[in-house]
Amino acid sequence: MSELAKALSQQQFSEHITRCSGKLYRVAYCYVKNEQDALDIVSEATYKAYLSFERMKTPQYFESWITRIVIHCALDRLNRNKRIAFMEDQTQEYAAAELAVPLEEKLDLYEAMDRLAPEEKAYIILKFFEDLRFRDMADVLELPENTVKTRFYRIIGKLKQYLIEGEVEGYDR
Amino acid sequence: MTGKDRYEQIEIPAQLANVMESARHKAAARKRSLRLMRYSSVVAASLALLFVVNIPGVANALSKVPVVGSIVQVLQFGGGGERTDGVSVNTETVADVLRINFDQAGETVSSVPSYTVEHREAPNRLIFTLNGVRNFDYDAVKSDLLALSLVEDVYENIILDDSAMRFVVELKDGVTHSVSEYRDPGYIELKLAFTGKQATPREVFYIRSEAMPQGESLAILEEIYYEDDVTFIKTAGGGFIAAIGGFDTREEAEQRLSEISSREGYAGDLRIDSWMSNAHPE
Repeated sequence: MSELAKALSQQQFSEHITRCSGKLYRVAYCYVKNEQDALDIVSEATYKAYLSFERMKTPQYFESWITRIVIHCALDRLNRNKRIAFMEDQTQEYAAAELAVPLEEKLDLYEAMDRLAPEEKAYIILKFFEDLRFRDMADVLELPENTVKTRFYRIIGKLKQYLIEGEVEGYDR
Repeated sequence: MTGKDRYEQIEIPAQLANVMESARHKAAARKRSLRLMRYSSVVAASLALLFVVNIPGVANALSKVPVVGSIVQVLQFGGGGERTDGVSVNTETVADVLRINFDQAGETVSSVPSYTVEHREAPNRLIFTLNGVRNFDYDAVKSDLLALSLVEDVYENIILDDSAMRFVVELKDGVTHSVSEYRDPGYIELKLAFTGKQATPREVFYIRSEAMPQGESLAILEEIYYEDDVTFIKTAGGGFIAAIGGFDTREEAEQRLSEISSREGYAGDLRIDSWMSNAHPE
């Protein structure tokens, strides 16, 4: 690659990643729920992405690609720190007392995500917070669209079940 | 359902831009050092090849290879071939021999594309990298390799270069191999043979990542740990790990991990593990 091509490539990288930096931070934050860890994740993802940007096969999908790297970095961090306690005894906070309100409307997904396994959180973030279509989620997660749909509905079902039961269950993993 | 409003209200810290810019600068410095290491590796590989073709065992193997076309070299590890682009790959098997054929626009090629073969243990495996190839039917290659009775498993390594392919061939215990390169036409032959004796299993130490599914994350780890000669191994559970080593002792592995972890930007994603030379990591 010529020096000019390299410079262009680096400039493109900076432009692309600056455009979606806020989104990347929010995605990272959803996993760790604290500023410093979220910044570390975005920093690590930026580092890794820069190393491989020139070899990226489909630059037009930069945002999906970098989001995927952020998700992987977040999962790595959670796995390393082992700080996640699944199914903490917070059920009462999620179980709304007002039965007249439909379950779907009572479910605060931002809070409910804390009850999911790390690898399940992306489905909620991408679908509800980033408003992605299943096809676009499949690109980010590198999975077939039908697999994404199946897992998504299973996760939603699980969250609804927590709300219905209103009691603590062991996370079955 | 609610929660999106809270997501959108997550405050973006003022230092985010600086943090990302700093990471980009670190990566740029790292990239420069990687390029330097790659040039050094080419020189080292050339020296290794000179060494390999002069050892008596390889010369003996050479004498047993039936010649179709002109033999270029026989090796157990190393590399060869010429720089190409867009070459198609297909394979065929006879007994315990796999032949990798190459063609371009329907015509056989006179020289094989640039390739490398690495031999590693724990488990006993060969790592083939073919450069300058585009149409590579990995499933067909895997099917042909698995048809060889001395092959234990075959899996692909994802690399961030769409003109190169890499696959790993795990060999059964007590199996030895030779790789022959031919020209006019250009093809590569992998010959396997059972030695009749199985090596006594021993503990081998590796610096490894967590297991993960096959995919881009592994390829990125290769970029990061390229100069550490990282390879990728299938785990007993069907996942994949990045692995640096193996080492004969835990102390050697700890020493290397200490060097790696002292680097700027090290993400803390590696640990030391060990397994037997005839086994897979967990």
